[in-house]
Amino acid sequence: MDGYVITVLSNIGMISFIALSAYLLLVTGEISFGQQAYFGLGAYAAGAATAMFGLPIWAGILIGVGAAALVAMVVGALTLRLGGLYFSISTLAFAEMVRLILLTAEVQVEVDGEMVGPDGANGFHDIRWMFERDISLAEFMLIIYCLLALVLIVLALVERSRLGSVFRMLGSDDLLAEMQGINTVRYRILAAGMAGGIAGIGGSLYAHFTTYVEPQFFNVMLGVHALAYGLIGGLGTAFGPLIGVAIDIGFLEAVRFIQGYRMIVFGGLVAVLLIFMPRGILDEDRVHRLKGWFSRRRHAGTRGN
Amino acid sequence: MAPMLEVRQLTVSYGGVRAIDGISLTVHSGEIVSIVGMNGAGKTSILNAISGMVPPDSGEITFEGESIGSLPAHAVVARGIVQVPEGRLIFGTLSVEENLRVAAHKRSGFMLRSRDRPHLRQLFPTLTDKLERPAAGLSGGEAQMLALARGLESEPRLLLLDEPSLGLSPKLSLGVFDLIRQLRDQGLTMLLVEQNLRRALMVADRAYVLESGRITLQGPASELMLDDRLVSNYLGVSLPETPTSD
Repeated sequence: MDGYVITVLSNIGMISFIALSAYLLLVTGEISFGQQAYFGLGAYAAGAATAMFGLPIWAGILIGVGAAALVAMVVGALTLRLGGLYFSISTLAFAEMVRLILLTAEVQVEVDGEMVGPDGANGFHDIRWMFERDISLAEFMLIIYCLLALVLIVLALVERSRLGSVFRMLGSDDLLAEMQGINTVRYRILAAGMAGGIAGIGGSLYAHFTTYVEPQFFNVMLGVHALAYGLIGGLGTAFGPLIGVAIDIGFLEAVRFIQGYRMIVFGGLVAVLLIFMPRGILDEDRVHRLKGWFSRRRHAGTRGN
Repeated sequence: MAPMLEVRQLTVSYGGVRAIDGISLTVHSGEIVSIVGMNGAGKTSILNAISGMVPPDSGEITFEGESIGSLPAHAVVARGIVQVPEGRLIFGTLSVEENLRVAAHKRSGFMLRSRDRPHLRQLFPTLTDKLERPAAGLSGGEAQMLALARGLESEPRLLLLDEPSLGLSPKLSLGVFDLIRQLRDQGLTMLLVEQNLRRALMVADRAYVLESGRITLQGPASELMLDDRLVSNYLGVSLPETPTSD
């Protein structure tokens, strides 16, 4: 694999985290325009841990995830009671707040005679953990996909559990869920924390993959794309948003002849899909039918033997 | 013996419009108590106030000696009061099993699946064959059965039933009332809201007649069934020889 392919695949992997983050909230019926904030917080926190304080990358990722999840739960506790549109607006406001804070924050320490750390609008440079250890891009891509697989496994387990059903109930009827004895606010905060943490993983990896991050990358377009991935790929399964990411970055960005027209094609695709498949390609109904088809095939197979 | 549920001087209004106007009622352990009345009389509002879905303006609701009037709905369920809402409200995109699983909050933990439901198999044989199907594909009767089964999964001590026979064929609604009798025989206490006066009085021990947010008649169901005033109030016609209740 050449560097270009590795970079595209790694980008797909890292952006998948924020897509899954937005997806989890979409499943619970919340539209967040602010998941890029947790991606950014994860990137800054993990970068600070390794570049400024010399911690190993796994500790950096844990700190990035923890910081993002914690902030997401606090913000969730404050805003989720608002519900619906008001929640969406407040997520956008919060994300812009985070971006503007990062644009002005200058927190640097001296490491080996050099100043390292967030430098306001100049970004946060020299997050070199990976290069100092001669870890190749291909090896780092492997780390990205291992973590992505781990998140997908956890989400699949959640989907099969009572918790997953509770999340889907929140998305379809709040009051009815409350009638089942579900503390809806508490479960929403839990979902917000999980979603923040997942975005934080993506950010942690992103900071180390590119070696520098700047607040401008975590603008609202990243959050809007994150939402669109779930809406394109489908809200019936965690693999839905991955399809969305693959279509956008894997296909549209990689195919050279539409370079420059990518956003036009992407926007059009979102509009067309929302009209004909309002809950995406792999919506709940298709996922149910696919599952039925697979289990019938399995039964037919065992009978044949 | 102290009543299991006691509602005193309950008043509920929506946007300044009074739906329930100072009603009081009791439910004793092991009883089926029915609230009957016409559309818009405020029957559902009483249930919603008890289950914490709407905040009462004033009045007191005590369950097993403790005030529950200010608890949020999920905390009321935790106390053992479970409402089966009107209109067969189920989660259509979830499977039958998933609908049941969420309600079983006392037995199943966070990540567990509880597949073992011998008591449900006996009460709802048609449902247990369709556990993996999406609930949206159930027929009207099956959906009502699912709503009831889901209510039972929360292991209620008091079940609030809101129009369980609404929109069902006569045959299916007979099945629902059969089920209510079976549950009573198992010792479950129920507060039943019904428009179907005759069926409600046949299955209930006591009943309250609700008109425009006020209780106009109450008593043992067997006596109310023979009461002329009920017929006149209920049908909205006053027979010349019937004394009015005022």
